[in-house]
Amino acid sequence: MRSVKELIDKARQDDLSAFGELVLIYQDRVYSHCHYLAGNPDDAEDLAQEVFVQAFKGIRSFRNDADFGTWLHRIAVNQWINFYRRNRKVVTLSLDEPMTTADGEVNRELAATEESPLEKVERGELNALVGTALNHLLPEFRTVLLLREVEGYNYDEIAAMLGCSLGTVKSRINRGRKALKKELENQLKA
Amino acid sequence: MGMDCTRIEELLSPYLDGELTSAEIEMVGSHLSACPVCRRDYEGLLLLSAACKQIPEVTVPAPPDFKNSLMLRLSEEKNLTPVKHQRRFKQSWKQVVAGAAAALVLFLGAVSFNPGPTVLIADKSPTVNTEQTSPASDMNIPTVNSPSGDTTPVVQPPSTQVGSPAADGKTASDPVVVEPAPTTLNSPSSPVFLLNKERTIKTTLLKIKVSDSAGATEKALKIAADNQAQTQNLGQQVNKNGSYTTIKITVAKASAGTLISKLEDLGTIITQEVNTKDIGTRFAEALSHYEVLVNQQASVQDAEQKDQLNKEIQTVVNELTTWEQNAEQETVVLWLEK
Repeated sequence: MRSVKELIDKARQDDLSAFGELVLIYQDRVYSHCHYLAGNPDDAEDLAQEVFVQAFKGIRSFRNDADFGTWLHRIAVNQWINFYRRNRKVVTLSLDEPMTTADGEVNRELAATEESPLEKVERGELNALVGTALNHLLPEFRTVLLLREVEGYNYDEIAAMLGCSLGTVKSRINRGRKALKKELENQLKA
Repeated sequence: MGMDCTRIEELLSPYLDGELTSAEIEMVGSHLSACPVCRRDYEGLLLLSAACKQIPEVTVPAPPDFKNSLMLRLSEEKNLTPVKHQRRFKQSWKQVVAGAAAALVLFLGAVSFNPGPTVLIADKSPTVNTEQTSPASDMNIPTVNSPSGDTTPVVQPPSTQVGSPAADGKTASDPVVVEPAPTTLNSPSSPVFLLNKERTIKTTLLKIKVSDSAGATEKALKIAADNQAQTQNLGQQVNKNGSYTTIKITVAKASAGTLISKLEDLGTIITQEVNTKDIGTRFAEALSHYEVLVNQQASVQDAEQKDQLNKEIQTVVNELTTWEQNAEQETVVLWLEK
């Protein structure tokens, strides 16, 4: 069994079988990552494949002192964002704009719920439910929450990644959290 | 919930994320210590945030066929684009020719660029080699499947059905590698590739100053024909300052020496450069890729997948055969200048 470093060196010289060994080492990690980013197994597989394809194409740009897993992780986020940006036209309903109704200007987002049963829930149960709840959110909310909570990017970075304003990021994270809370409460009630 | 709480509520999320100014942080902090309702909201947000951060802890294994389908895709993409170092090699030659062209432009200097009448080289259509590749007699060695073995390793592609020329987009001039529908693995018509054979691609750039450009071109083509070489006119320019002709000559390795020494007699040699590239490693890699495909092809049941793999195998075999042929030949780029 060759070391990761040796395999990377080989892969740099177009050695596909060495790259294959790297895939075996990292595929579960990358797939898991893509699974929660994409939110469903089909897209997860497409995304994970794309990550490795891009990795193979760009392996010469990988710095040897960096961690290969971290590098793959970054590629996954970038690919996922690209995917999101390509497809968002379909889903964006100008959610950040207030909607005017007969009663005057109201926010499109539903009013925050009054009482929360969340505190009473077992932490383990909450952790298990949160992934599913996230998948039920609108892509706008889901994307910013994953970037913020899971990937750990700050608001500026998220704004740059998504190509939107800081205010939009701030607003979406805020409302995304409310929506997530509501979704979890619905799940707990069910 | 008072007016203050409504305002604070909007700030809780950025507060949690550390995205507020110090004045705002202070304001939220003091409100939270005084307001149990907002504090509970904030604690709820903290809980959610912590739960989100647990998401990556869950490992979801990749689907069982993940690696195989990925490798298939990568090898497809690899086949579509030329291999990196091969491309570099080709570029270096392009650069040589481009450099020569640039030198030519510099040489012409401020003189108005008028190409004048172009001399056409007699044989413009390069001979197309439609010969079938057949296993050479000295390759008649029993099949060994390990490419890394010390004994003479031979990999023998099994039968691969070739589609009709129209169906798989091949032109009639493509060298036919595998006979259609042979049924046994050791079909005599299958190409045999020797792994431990030396495989180099040698190219010689020969720049010669001649007194009669058209005459020299004619002589060069005659020399090429005498040595059963293929020629291709890469371009020429004629103007009042002189003429420049570039011809690519592809010749069997055995005849290369004779050919070059004859060409050297055409005039005064300006430069002669030799570029040798060992393609042995690439060849071995393609062979092992080939083996992987053959194994896959043997194990899949799905007809469509099998067909796909057959096409893949055919591509690799074609690639190997082309390399094999290139390694049997030498290329001479002849630059005639007057």
